[in-house]
Amino acid sequence: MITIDMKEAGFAYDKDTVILKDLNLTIHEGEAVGLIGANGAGKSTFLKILTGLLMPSGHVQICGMDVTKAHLSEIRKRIGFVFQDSESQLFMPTVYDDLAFGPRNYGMSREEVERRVDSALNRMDISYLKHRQNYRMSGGEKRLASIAAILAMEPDIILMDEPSITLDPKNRRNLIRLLNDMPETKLIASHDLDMIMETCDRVLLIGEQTLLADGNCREILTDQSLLERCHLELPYCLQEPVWKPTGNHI
Amino acid sequence: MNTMSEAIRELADMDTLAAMDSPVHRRHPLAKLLVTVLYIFITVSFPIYNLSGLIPMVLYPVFLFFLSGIPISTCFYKLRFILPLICAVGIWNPILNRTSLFSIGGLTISAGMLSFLALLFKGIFALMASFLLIATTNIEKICYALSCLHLPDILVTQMLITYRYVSLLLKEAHTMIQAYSLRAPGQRGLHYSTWGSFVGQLLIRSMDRASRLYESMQMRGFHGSFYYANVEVWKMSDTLWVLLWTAFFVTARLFNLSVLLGRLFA
Ligand SMILES: Nc1ncnc2c1ncn2[C@@H]1O[C@H](COP(=O)(O)OP(=O)(O)OP(=O)(O)O)[C@@H](O)[C@H]1O
Ligand SMILES: [Mg+2]
Repeated sequence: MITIDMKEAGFAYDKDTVILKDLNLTIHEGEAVGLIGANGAGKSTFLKILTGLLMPSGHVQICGMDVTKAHLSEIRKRIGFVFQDSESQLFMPTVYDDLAFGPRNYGMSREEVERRVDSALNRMDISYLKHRQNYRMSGGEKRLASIAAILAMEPDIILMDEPSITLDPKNRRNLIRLLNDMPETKLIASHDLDMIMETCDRVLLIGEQTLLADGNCREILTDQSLLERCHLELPYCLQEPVWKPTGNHI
Repeated sequence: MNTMSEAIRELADMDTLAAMDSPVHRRHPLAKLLVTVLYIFITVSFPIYNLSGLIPMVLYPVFLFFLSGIPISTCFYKLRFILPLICAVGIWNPILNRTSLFSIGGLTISAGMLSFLALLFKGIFALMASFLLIATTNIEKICYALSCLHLPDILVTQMLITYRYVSLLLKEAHTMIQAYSLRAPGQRGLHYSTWGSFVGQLLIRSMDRASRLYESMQMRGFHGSFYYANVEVWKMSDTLWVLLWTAFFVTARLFNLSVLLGRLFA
């Protein structure tokens, strides 16, 4: 089944600031797709037009529904969006309240809310943060909590904007494992090309205001000249190591 | 420069207090709201010279401090800026109204002094009661109580968002001041030439953050009114709580309990 369908889609703040144009693609149920591009290429914008936070031009469909005002509430029920800036995503006083916010808004019973909150905290391995005040958390903890807040909604499609940013190597590894275990449709925007390599089968490369490449993850992420044209580099794991590990310091 | 982070912390502190657990915290928010409003109303309605009648009203806040485990010192610390204001309001009474009423051990008590004290106590009692309400009930629950009273949804949501917006504004100002002072070493405060752009930027930045917060709320099913699913159900004990305190306040208002007690022991 097609979950995301774009035809001649685009977005412009006004006539002179066209951010994206001529986007044509389809994403099927269960696909894991990476979204890459330089700073300011329009990755966040791309994700936002799928959610209707920015209204796209052209034709954008999510699960068969056009992204228009009339369908927004139904579309948003299906989509979980992890924002690039978790500071802006968490707005309730505690982690618990934040995780419960979505499920409560959809009128779930108290038991169901409780179950979802606990399961999301467990999946992110952050049960110890449950009653922590958002104000008293580190950047990475906020990141983990904001991902958990989306998991608690149990959406069909997950959009993530730089999910691995600010995470330590262990939490990044956990996130990769979690992403690989998730059966949902995923669209992950990131500069962490190694993570994209490990979690996605397909990659969309954005540059020059449009979709420059759409294809197999391995093929695109190993195409050095294409990546360099877009201000990107090969993933670290494909580059010559600068140093070799020595491991005799303790 | 530290006052900003202090303000943010104090605002967050209120949330921490409200997240504690005690018999008072567990009362239905509507019960607490009703009792608090009634308490303030009755306290304020005491006649201006009836200090002895007013004194027994202290039992309510004292009992609540005891039951909730919130230290009374926290209350006075938080109210430190308002208390001088209350004093300032009544400070002229003893000077303008010197009609002497009675004397205790050679010290003549004038009508002005008595009314000043009564005013002071009324103010302190009312503040303590309001403090106790917000220290034992978080803003979501207070808003829930207000919506139980059928206040328009838009008003209640407005209140809730304003509360959150204030802390956001403080945080944004804090970040900006930090960034400023790191690049302006040795300068005290903001140079006046930057005030204009600072305020403008603050407004734009906090609006921008507020709109991103709003986007995040929209993405999680927010449609203009909050749902309060985990609020306690109204129990028998809540009815009792309201009835008993109402009985006590009304009795204290109608009969001078201090005098009655005095007579009992005389
Ligand atoms: N409110 C706005 N008004 C006008 N232009 C904007 C606005 N917000 C972003 N832009 C521009 O839109 C372009 C795309 O921004 P976007 O945030 O989508 O980039 P991105 O690919 O996510 O970048 P990054 O990797 O840095 O997160 C940028 O060039 C940016 O300058
Ligand atoms: Mg971005």
